[in-house]
Amino acid sequence: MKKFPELTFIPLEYANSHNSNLIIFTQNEKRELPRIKEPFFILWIPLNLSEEILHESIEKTLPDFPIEKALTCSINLVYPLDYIRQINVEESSSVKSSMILGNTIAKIVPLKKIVNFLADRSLIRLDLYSHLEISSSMYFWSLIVKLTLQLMAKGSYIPYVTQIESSEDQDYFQEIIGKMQSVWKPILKTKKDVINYIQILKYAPISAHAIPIIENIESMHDFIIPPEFKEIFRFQNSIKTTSQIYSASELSRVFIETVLDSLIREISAVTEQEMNYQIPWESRLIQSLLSPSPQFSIFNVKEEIIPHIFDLWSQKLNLSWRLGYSLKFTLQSPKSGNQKEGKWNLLFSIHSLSDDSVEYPLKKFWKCFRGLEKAQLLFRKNEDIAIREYLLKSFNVLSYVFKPLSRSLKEKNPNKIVLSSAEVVSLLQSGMESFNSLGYSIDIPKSFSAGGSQRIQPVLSIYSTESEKPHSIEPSIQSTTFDISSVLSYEWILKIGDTILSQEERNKLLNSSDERHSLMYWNDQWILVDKRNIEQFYGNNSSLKGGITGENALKLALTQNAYIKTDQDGTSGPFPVQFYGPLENVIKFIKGEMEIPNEPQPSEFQGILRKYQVYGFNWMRLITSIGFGCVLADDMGLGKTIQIIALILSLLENNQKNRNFLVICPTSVLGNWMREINKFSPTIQAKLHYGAERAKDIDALNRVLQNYNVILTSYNILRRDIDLIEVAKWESVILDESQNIKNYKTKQARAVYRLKEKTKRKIALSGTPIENRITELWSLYHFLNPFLLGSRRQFLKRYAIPVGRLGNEKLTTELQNLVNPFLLRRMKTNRQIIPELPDKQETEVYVSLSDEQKALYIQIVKSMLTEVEAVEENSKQKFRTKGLILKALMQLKQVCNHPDHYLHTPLETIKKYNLNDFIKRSGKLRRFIELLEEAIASKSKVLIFTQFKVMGDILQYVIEEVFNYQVPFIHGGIKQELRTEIVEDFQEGNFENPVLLLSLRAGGVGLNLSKASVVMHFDRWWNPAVEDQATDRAYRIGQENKVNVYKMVVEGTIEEKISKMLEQKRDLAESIIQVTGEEWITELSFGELQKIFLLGEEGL
Amino acid sequence: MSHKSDDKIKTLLQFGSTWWGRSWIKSMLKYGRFFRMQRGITYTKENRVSNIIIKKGEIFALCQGTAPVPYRVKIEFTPIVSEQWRQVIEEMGQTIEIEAKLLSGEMPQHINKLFLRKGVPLFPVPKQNLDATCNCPDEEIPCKHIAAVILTLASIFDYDPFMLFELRGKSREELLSELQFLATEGEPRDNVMRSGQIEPNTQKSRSFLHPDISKLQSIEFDISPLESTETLFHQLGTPSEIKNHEFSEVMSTIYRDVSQFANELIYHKKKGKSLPKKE
Repeated sequence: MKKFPELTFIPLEYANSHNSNLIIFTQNEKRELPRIKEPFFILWIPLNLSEEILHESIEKTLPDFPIEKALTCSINLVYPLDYIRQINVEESSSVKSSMILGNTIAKIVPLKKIVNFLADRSLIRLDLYSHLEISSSMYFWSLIVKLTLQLMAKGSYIPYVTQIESSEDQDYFQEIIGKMQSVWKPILKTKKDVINYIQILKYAPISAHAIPIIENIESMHDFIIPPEFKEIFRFQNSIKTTSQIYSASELSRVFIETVLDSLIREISAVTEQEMNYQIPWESRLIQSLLSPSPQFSIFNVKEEIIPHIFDLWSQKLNLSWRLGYSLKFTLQSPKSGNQKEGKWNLLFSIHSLSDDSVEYPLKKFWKCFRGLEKAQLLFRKNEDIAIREYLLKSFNVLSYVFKPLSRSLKEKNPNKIVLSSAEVVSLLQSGMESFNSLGYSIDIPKSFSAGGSQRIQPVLSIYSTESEKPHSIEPSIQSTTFDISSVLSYEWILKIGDTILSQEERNKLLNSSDERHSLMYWNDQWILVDKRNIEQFYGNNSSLKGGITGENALKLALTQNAYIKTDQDGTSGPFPVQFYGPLENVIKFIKGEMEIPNEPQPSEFQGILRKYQVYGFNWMRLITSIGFGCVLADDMGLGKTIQIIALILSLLENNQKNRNFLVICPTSVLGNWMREINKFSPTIQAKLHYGAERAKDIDALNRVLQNYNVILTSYNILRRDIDLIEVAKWESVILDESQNIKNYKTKQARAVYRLKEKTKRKIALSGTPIENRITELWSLYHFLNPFLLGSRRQFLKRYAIPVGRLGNEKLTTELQNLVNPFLLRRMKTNRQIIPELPDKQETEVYVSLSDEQKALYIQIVKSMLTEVEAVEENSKQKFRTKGLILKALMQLKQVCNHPDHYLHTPLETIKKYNLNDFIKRSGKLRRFIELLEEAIASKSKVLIFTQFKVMGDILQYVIEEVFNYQVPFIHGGIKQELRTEIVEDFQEGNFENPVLLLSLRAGGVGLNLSKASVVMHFDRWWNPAVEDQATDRAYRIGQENKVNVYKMVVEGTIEEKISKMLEQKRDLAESIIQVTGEEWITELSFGELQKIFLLGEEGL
Repeated sequence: MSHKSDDKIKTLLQFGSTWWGRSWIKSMLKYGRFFRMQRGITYTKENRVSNIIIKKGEIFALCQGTAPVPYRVKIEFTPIVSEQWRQVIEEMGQTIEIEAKLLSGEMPQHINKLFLRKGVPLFPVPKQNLDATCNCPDEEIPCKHIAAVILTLASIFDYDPFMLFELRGKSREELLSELQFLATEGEPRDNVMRSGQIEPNTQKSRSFLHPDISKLQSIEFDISPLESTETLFHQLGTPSEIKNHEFSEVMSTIYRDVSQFANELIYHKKKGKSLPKKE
């Protein structure tokens, strides 16, 4: 679903060109502005000529934009024909991917303003702000703005000077012999910057750079204007176009350069002073760099070389990003024999910035360049010349930074140099830093890097006070608990690889090395020694040992960020952390570095658990035994409920029957839980705490607790009854659909928090990946493991903003390290899981009627039964009953879907309702939307079937509104061509439109929908053959995915009962139903009819 | 040579700040008459020379004398012949060093020796008198205007050594392209096979027209306060030609202010407005 308004950058030359047809309106007067001086942005909607619609759209997305003050204009732009399709226009054109040239109305946004707007909207997290409907072009430009701000924040720009050629410049009277222009040049310096930039450009939407390059009056075959739209476009002199549009990279480059330069001047503005020849040129340059006018005069011929100075100066920069390749160095330690004597090789290679796997040794490059080796290299013509130039310049620059490299200059085709150990030391100490800062990467043998086996490393070792220091006997993991409030001991030790150094060894090292850093020969290998690290062990003895709380110890162990105090009140680190003693196992376990003993499935479990499910309940049991809360975040369809049931059973084994478990879930799922418990573990006594008859005081609750192991309740009820419920002691509290407490401020979240103290095992189930939703994460972990993420304020400061807004890599990793050990998530696409999943898994999803639906249902049934009964007697009227029954059947089905379906409320009216209220009125719709959300979150393509076109229209509308996806609907009225196209989009397309809606009948024959992995039947048609046929369309030969089929069934209604009856009378069903569709129902006796139609007492 | 002469020569040599510029002066002095060169000193210091044009074998310049209109100076040299150039370039191409330095705008120290080894004069060698003209009334060669031009050229060559090559008959571009040609061992560029495109597919495919912008959600930016050593300016160091101490201080301040601005903008401290979040 396209979002508007679009945002496009208009460069100066286009604005001023005749082809743009730019006209600016002021106060109802059309007026062409004289030559535009600065580029600007426009906000626009394709094909839109109405200023009101544009204003509305802008108000929605940019509430603080001063619409009245902004200038309106009209301008020529170009965009894909698809845009028209998106705006609900029926078209039969088979042209999919052509471009359209059009004149559109737009609002002008000055360059300076746009940075402010987009800095705000430069949000990485689209999902948080999706309701603001930011268009993809606006998102794109906001990323470019963010990149620009990053360049500014990191000082990735340089001053630069060029000479302006102009005969007017010379003015002998004032002794001016020329004019120079200064500019601030942005530079993408690091590899990351380049990769980000390339990535952003790769996905630039056309609307962001929708500007045509009109060269000559040539053929129009790439720009097509369907005849019906000709009137909409205004042309002047019938402009014809070529197939070119400005590239995104061109526009962004111009934008970044312009904005960076003008912003820097604004920020550092100085008052302009008179500049004459007596003022040194450096000062004249500075003034020109800091004022709006970038020019300055030069007064003598020596100053003519100023541009040259900056040219040479900037050449030192590694501009490999323009090439997409970078020179890389690899240090190899001596291969065999004595490391002391051995030679160290520093190898040269060239690698691609956008694809890490593409790397060639330089030897190969030289050969290819000389034409000695053909094929394989992937350089474009003349690109290799540029690369060679870059290589030569690089060697030159680096030879100053690392002297041994000047040896390479003496070669013709350098491939490597051999280093002495002294040179290696110098490289490892300071050379690497210089190389990196200039943009060249060096790979050193792993053993030298932090944590490697050839490097001395301080390590923080932590052990519990009772046990001995390192290397005590480890008891089994099952009997270990971790008390975060306990106090543990720590000690800083030095290690080489895995060996811990003793005091004498430390001394020895200290005395034997001469310099700060050196390579030392020790036990047959070279090790890197940072003498400072060792010295600390002499200086500040008091901080070498001490006590630490369990909480901090655990966090350190997970983040591996330990810092040691140095003498001058500084810190040095981060250094790794290691646990010893029984806790070592705990850490290993939660980091997933340990095989856990898997208890087999509980004997009372009815059914067979899959391997990953066995692992799941074992893991949950163990981690909660240790004392931590946990999250089970498996994909939809993998059986989270089942794993919980298995867990409960295993905890009730061995006569632990007096334990109580509380399951909190959304109202619509209560029935499902009950059903599953009864199915898989009938021995568990489960009770619903719901409805008017539920326990109201402590005595009543205690009675319940004595008689039942598992209590099921909803979030709503918990919120209301928390004073009661928190009194009980719970073996475990299980939060189903944990996103229900994603907002810590809500009453229900606060109610859940009150259960923290008295609950032994805290478990959350989630179907949507939470690791991306930072604030949700905090709310959840505040319940599960409150110590981990700290207070909300601390959390926001340390993680939420840097990770959520900026994607700070270091902190993202740190947060993940803290969170992931307590989270278990398997995906349907996991290679290990796939073999265990059935190819096709059918699940019935039970939902209940809303009160409104119930009332309607009862009324219809009552009136139908009364009439039928009356007719019963008179067999002549038998045909009437048939009609009555079939009609009632139809109506009841509609009620089960949604009251408004039955009431035939027109779609236009429905669109005016509040969406949430509308959804809540149907239990089925509500649950359906929840399931759909999970399915989409697990990256599945979804087919939805309904037998009613009317309901299909409603579903289409609701899904589009909720998820902002366009949902195509294939039904009887859709022509073949369009169907084919829709199916193609669905199969081939990426996940912009993962949902396809089909009517059960007209979902026609011959459609290949094999890419779907989730099929949902919104309502049923009791001709199983038809239903299965629909399902099987997804499950076809060539199918790569496992398919999950969900059939929505409303409890207690005909949906449930008929489907049960069908199952029982399977053979009968097959023969009868094939022939007569649903009419067999009309053949039933009155008694049977009653049974079917009366609203059942089962479930809710 | 007397001490006094040595001193005078030293004074003249000071107009060249690199070995290069000084070598130029030295070679000009070989034309004799160094005391005549001295007369150009004042004019040079007074920056009276302008509009210098250097071509193959020729130098044009204007020098402001006492008259209102500047005098026109022209100096000619026999350029290095192509066969000589060929030999020199072949020698240069034995390693990547010279080409690398030339590409970086540097003049390697030993290049003079290389020319000498090949018996090719890098700096003009006097076979006859200095072939220079000036339309001033002074008949002597060099007049002070010519001298001033020669001395000024030293600093021109200091800053752009390639101007000397230009004078001797090869522009920087020509030199570099011949070196590069050598590197391919004479294979014409087009004969070398290359494999296919690595451009992203810019066909008018669906993904070109409607790229999946959600893929950009994982892009990470690093907007954080600045370490002064991080700025490009600091890493490159102040250009050596800038003698003004203030320059780097001013730069540091600018970089710091700009970084602060960017940080404040992203972290919202400036505006104090935030967007309504979905609840």
